[in-house]
Amino acid sequence: MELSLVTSESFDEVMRHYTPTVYRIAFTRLKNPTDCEDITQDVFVRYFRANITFESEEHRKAWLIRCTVNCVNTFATSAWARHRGETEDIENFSESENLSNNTTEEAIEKKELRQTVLSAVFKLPDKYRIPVHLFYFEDMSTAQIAVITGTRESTVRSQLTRARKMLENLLKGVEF
Amino acid sequence: MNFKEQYSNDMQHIIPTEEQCEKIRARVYQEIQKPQTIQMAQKRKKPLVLKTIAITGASVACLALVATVALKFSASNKFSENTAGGAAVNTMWDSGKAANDAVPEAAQSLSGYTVPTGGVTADTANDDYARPEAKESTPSSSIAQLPSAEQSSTITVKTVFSEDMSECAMYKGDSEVKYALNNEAPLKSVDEKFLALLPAINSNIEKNLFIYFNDNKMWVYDETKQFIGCYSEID
Repeated sequence: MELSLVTSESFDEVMRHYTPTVYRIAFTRLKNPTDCEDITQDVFVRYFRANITFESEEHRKAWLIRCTVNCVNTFATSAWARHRGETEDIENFSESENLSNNTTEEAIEKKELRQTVLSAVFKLPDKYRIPVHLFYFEDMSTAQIAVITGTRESTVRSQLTRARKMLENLLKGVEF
Repeated sequence: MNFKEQYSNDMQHIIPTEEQCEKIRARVYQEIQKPQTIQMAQKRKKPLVLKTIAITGASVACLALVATVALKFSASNKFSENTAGGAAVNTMWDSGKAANDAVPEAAQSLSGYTVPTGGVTADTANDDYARPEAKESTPSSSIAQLPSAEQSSTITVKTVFSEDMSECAMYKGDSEVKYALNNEAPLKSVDEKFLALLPAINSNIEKNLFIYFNDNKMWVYDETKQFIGCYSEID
């Protein structure tokens, strides 16, 4: 289904389509479901209020991702968030599969592996997590990531290189 | 294990539940349906140029008003200052004039001296307010500013010498002191700067003389700072 490129049109469909994307980016940085809900709400309220017409679907997606990154950074640097501290337990995320009912060893092994990879990523410094997510999950180029994060492309490459080295130490036998 | 594949598979599971999605959707619609949200969207459509012109015009008008008030205020103050300054000048001129007029009467009492006519020269303490007639008269006498060795403040004096330079009379305000030439030697050392501050004009030879005072004596030098004589006060 082709969605209208005007922010005030097809708003409900756009929101349903992009909520997981926005939520994941927020979770990568904040690791707290409640905070991620707030960020997602803010992003779509801003999307509606922007009242602009996008050039393409990629333009819309890039706008939403950039808005999410800005909202996350604003929230993370707020006095309340700084004084509260980070959420270390990554088991508080939602899963589409109900693995609690699947007791097979394979499922358990998968879950353990997932937690290992995600926990390793969540152990990275704050400034590396979003570039890693945008590069490996959203398949964005370093130039696009630089535009979204407001940094230079060389900076993004350095951040990805350092993140890779840290992940190699945390995850034995992983290939990049 | 390939990190990209594993990470992508894992992040697919990081999604909000249906309950969370509904909650987010409800809050978003609640927020965007608020009146201020609609007004803000409409306000953004208004052209910015008209607002900018209106603000700029109001700022210019305010600045012009402030400048006008400031100019009027400063102009009125300047007029009153000038009037006060003029009055002060006139007061000083009148007092100096009275002091100078009293001296020629005392000078006429000395015998054998030629009292200069045509008024007196300007008081060196009040050069800015010199009377016109003082400039036209022959430079036969002048009032010397005389800081004495004992006093730190300046006093205005006038010296008149006899033709043969054997006697002189000094007028300090209303007082008159007479000096006579003695045989004392010139000073061993004289402060050049001090001499330069004590110009005096001989009534007959029309020269500038430099006088150094100490107690009841004075040493007199000519323009080239050649010693003329030492005078002692006489009763």
